Amino acid sequence: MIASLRKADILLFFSFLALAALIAALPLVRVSGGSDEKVRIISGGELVGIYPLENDIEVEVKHDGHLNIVSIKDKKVYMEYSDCRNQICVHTGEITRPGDTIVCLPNYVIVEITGSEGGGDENDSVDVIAK
Amino acid sequence: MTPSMSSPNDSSPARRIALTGLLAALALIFSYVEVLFPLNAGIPGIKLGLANLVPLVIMYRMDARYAFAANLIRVLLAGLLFSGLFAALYSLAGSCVSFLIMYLLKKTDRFSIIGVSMAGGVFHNLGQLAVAIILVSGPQLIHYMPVLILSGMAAGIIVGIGAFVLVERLPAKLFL
Repeated sequence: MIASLRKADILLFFSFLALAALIAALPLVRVSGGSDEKVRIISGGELVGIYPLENDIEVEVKHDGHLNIVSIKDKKVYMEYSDCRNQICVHTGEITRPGDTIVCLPNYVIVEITGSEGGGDENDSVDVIAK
Repeated sequence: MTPSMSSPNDSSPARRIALTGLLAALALIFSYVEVLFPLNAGIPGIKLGLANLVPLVIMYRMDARYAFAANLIRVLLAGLLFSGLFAALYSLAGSCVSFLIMYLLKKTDRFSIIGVSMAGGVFHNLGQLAVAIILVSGPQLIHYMPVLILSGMAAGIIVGIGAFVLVERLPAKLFL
């Protein structure tokens, strides 16, 4: 039976092994290269901006005379300030994971963390509809 | 199609239909045996693919067309009987890709039946993964590829050894 093996068999065997090893090595490179998580801010149904989770920034969101300040710091996002009545968004505290959201209903502001590339947009639109 | 294949066209349609049905039933029994005794080495979703013995042996001892027809019927029936319509679609994609690869590799005449079976096992898994990536629209599923390649190789080699033993003992022109 071993004798029936051909050179091409052995070659194919090792090419499959090499392919598996190559792909197994891929995600390691990507993870160490940093994540692709983004922070999306939507105000009154319109996209205010998309910011990388890595960079610390304060974003002022003005809409219909209302003001919200979103803070991105140390890969965490929180609502720094809101002039809304209930302050639920401010009390939501920090969000860190893809899919997490901060919602300020009185001012129509949604802050959410989206995951890495691909597929994400579909899921996001579903989330917005569900809300 | 090619002169190297023993043509089933000289036999009557009734004989061809009966033979295909017989072979599909045989393949279905292998699927059933695998449902009864799942050999999955502790990893969920991974199985030996014992039923692939049948198309492999038919391909070598009869004709690729019988192998394809019997396998197609087997996949559809086994999918509907044992795992549901949706899983049947995954299986179908996997087995079609796998069959095509095995047919092409056999045609090159450079591979032993064990190598052909190994490639079949790997591409069965990759075909299913491709469908999963399209349906779930998640390219990150590609991270499952190494596991699927390795398990496909292992399953394919084991089934290939079985097919080798069978083919050695069967007459060159089975039923034809």
